[in-house]
Amino acid sequence: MKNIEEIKIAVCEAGKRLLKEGLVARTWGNVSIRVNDRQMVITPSGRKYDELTPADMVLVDIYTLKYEGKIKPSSELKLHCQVYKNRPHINAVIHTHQMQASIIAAAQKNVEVIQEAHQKILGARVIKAAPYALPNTKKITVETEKSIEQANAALMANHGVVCIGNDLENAFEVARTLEQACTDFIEYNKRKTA
Amino acid sequence: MTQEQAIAQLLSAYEYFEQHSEGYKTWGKVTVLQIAIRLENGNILVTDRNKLLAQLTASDIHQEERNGFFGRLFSKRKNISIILYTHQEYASQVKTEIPPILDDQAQLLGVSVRIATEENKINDALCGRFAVILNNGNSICIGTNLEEAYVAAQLLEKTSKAFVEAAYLGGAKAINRVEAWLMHKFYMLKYSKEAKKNK
Repeated sequence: MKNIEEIKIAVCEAGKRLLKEGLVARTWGNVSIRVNDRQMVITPSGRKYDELTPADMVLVDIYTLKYEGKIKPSSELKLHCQVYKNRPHINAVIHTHQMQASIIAAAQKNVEVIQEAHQKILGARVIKAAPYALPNTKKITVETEKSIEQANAALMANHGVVCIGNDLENAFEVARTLEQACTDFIEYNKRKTA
Repeated sequence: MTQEQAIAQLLSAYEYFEQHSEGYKTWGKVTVLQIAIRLENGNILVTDRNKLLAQLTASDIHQEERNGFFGRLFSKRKNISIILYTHQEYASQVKTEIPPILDDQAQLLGVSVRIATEENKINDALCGRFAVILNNGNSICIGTNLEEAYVAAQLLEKTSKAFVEAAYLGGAKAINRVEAWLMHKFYMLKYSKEAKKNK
């Protein structure tokens, strides 16, 4: 198992990778990795990804939400903690504002996953959109957690996406696959309209 | 900002936009046609709209009268120091007001994105907002600094793309305007403070 410092480096690099892959911008979105049954490391609140260093990453207690140090963790930490509490095999959580999924989130629709290969990675034939709730509220955590159920991703209406994985690589694969599945779904609807 | 600092920033703006385009590459194409900057003494410098930003030289930067096109926009927004005049792939396709359809839109751009039907109505359309779409398909995006104005332009493109493409899914659903307004105020105050505190 990696130590906390190694995990902080991994979370910091993951934040920069989210930016590079076009899954987040500016200070939006966040990423975390589970340390053990009780702790996770998450990106900080209100900071730009390209300015982050591993020392800015925040160690958080999953059960109490208490964090180590003076740097405040991402305001969406409750959602991450909830996932880790309810899904013991999940070790990485990514919250993105990726483009194609944002289109469907703005329409408040579920995503019908058309390709079988995508269904396997996403763990479901339909990726649900959680009803709208203001960011950083209890409601957004509860509704997103309900919508993700046994799948590996959920849309958050008018907001973004949460993707989960057994490890960080898996969570990134889920995010990329979801983006492709969303593109397919939009194109399918365009053809239907035409 | 002094005149020398402003000229240096304008001359390096293209490079800055290129370096900070990561994260926006899937959103749609944003072309900055012109930049206006307000100096600490209130003077306004503008780049030549006919010159590509990548080829800008000091001779393409001019001082504008305070009652000129950009001066009139600056006069209504005391804390704004940058105005970008842009052409954007998806924003140029939008013909009606975009209500608040995404949280990040509401947080930075404000409660909606309006269309300014005439030049003398841009200030009204921009009221309390950070972006406006013009009748000619171009857009105005503003910020307290270059980074904020650039993000506003990119976010306008993301919002426009979501608005245009969601039409094929039955249309984008708006969130509550009061909540959107509160989110905007909260983001502008709290996140700017937090970014400073967390440094």
